This record gives sequence, structure tokens and C-alpha cells, in this order.
Amino acid sequence: MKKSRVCTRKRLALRWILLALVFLLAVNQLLGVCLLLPIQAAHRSADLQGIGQVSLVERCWEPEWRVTGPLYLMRNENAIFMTDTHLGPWGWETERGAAVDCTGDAPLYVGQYDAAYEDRMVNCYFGRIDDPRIELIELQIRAEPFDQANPELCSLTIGREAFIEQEDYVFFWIMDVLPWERNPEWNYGYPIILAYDAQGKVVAELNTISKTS
Amino acid sequence: MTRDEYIQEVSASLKRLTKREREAIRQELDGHMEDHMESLRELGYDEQLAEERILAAMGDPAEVGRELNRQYPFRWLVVRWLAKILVFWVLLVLLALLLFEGPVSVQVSIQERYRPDMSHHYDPSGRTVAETYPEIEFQVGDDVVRVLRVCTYRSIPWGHLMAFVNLDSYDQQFMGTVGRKEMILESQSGEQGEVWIAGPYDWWNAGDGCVAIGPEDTYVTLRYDIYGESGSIQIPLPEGETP
Repeated sequence: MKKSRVCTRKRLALRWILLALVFLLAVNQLLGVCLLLPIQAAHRSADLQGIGQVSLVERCWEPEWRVTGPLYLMRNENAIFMTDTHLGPWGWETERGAAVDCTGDAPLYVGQYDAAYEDRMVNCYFGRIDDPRIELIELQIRAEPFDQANPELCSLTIGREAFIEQEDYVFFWIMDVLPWERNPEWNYGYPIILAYDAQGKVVAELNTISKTS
Repeated sequence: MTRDEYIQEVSASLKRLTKREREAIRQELDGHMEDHMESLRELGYDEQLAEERILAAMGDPAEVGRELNRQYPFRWLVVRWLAKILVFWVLLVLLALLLFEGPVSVQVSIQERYRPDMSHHYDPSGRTVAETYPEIEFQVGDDVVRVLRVCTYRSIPWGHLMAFVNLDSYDQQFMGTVGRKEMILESQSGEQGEVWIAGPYDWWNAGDGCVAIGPEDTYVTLRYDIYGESGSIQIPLPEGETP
């Protein structure tokens, strides 16, 4: 009578693991789906922006906005980049994100990224600070010039203690979670970033987001 | 106790085994006992005595069951199930991609890489004066950018002479993701037009741009400055009228 060989559980399990890894590697690399980690989705988003290899600066999870939606601030020496990720039936996915070219010689580079989910949205203002004099970053949402009765609608500040230092670079990240139905007055505002030194003097002012001063 | 009863008692003491594993163990035990019984028969033992001797040699069925349980750790069963779920999930996603997105995006991306098809690109919005297919290729980061077609045309309704360029881009690595690019198309007199190479697919991007040119112009310049990588490419303009 022919003996049937008993294949051990460990051997069978390792075969299935190998098969799963091969499948995953193939679809991850070729199609960019079935990503098991949110950081993979963030890297893919950076790739699609044309930035190239990036490393993580900061990761933020804002459950008030989206329970399965960490946001990532990433960088390389030429750019900074922000994107949000979310868990879907096809694994971790991402939107396109926002990138800022940092190859000039400006004191400050700023980007803006807005992400919406259901009835909430999150506004992110992020940047790289190349001028060591800068001690304070202020975000102002100003009214359009014609609405002089309300010249300033919103102001958020972030000091040096909240800056993110990594290797030779300094970054900042201001985030605000808002209801989708915003204050109607804000519909006519535009954001301005002001950078102050230790004496309170304005070092840089950006009146258009994603451009340098 | 008979041989079958012995095997049944061993099976009853097996825990957390799959049907296939139980059947494999049953066959293994049965085969093992049969081999030994055959040897004893050859030595002159009768059927019943041979069975008794075999059962005695096998030992306590409960103890045999416990030993076999130790050979089948539950954690590896869990690992195998998780790996199977992962494999089937990947296959499901692939199927969904095929049904909802279709194989078009993958197929077009591969096809365009080796055999560009101008039907996937826009035409200039005006009367074409002349066109050429220059086969210019250059690298931006990890991506290859190709100039596929250069046209001169008369704009509608003013009839201005314009240059129009079709480009595409793909990653050097097969099926790698390609990044979007923004470039400037510049005429000899300094006029500029934007060129966007972005979408429609993650593995292949198409783009185009136009700029006003002078009647004596012989080339346009494509400039790019993308995240620290900059360069310029001269693109010769076609001569004459299209047939």
C-alpha cells in the first residue's frame, strides 16, 4: 500500500506565506494595489508627484477627521510633500497629495493640502524653514480686499518648540479640522503665512500658498 | 481492541486538526500497522496474533494522540489561514480591477511604452501646417520623456502660427510609477507656453503644449526645472505643408 507522506503544518504554512509574498510583491510593484501599510501608499503618492525617494518627517492621525486616515509629511533634499491615506477594500490608498519644490534659496517654503471626507475636511499648511532666524510661523486667513470691514478672519500660530527638526532641516505643520459647511465669511478668504524672528519682525510673508516669498 | 478501533481512538484524541490532516494520519497509522503485520505474517503469525502484537507495540492510543497533537502546532494552522486569506484577497482585488477598471490601463501603458499610438494624444486646435515625428528621448529623474510629434498649425480663429508638441513619459523600470511633470515650451522669440505631462495612468503619462512662433523659427525649446533637476531640449520644427 502506498504510504502517503504527511506534510507538516509548518511546511504548508511557509509555502502559503511564500505564495502570498510573491503575489503581494507583484501587485504592489506592478499595479500599486494591495498595499498593507499606509506608508507604502504615501511613498507611492510621492512617486506619482515625480518627487522621487522621500523619507518620513511626521505622521499624524486625526480621528476627528477620519479614523482610518493618517496624514504624512515627507521630504527629500529637493522637496516636501504631504498626502493623506485611507484604508479601503483594495488596501491602503492615497490621494495625490501636495508637493513643494525647495530647490531655491528662499528662507521659507510653504505648501497647502486640503483633504475632505464625508462632512469633514482638514486643512494642512506645511513647510520647510531654511532661515534659522525664524522663530514663529503665523497662518492668517484674510478676507478678500473688497471685504475691508473684516480684514482678518482666522489666525493660527506655531512656535519653535513645535517645529519639527530632522537632520539639518526644520519643518512645520499646521493643521485644522473643520466642518464641511464652513463659516460663510471664510469662503472669501485667502491664506497668508507670516514668519517672524525672535524680535517679532516679519522675515517672510507668503500671500499665495505653495510659492515662496 | 481491533486495528480499526485503535485508529479511531487515536483520531478521537486529536484536537484542532483539519479533515485532511486527520485522514493523512489515519492512512499513515493504517499503513504503518499493515506493514508490520505483513512482516509478522511472513514469520508465521496468524492474523489475530499479529494484530495483538502490533497493538501492544504501538502503545496507549491516547498517548499516541497526544504525541501527534504536538506535531501539529495550532499557530502554524493560523499562519496558513492568514496567508490563504491574503492570497485570495489579492486575487479578488485583481478580479475587481479587471471588472471595474478593466485591463485597459495596464494594456495601454505597456503598449505605449513600446509602440506609441497617436490616437491616445490630443491634436492641435487649428489647421495643421506641417508635422514631424522627431523621436527625441531624454531622462528626468527615473522617468523617460519622449517627444512624439511636433506640429506647426494656424490657430482658430486668429490664424496665428503656433507650434504644438505631443509628449509622453514612463518609468525606466517596467511598470514603475511615473511622476507628473510641468515644463515650459519656449519659442525663439521668447514666447512661452505650459506643458503638462500627467495622467491618465500611473504607469504612463501623456502631455502636450503649444506656443506662438515666428514664420522664420526653426526650433522650439523645451525647458524643465523639476525638484532640482533642470535641462532644456531643442526640438526642430517641421518644414513645409502637410500632404
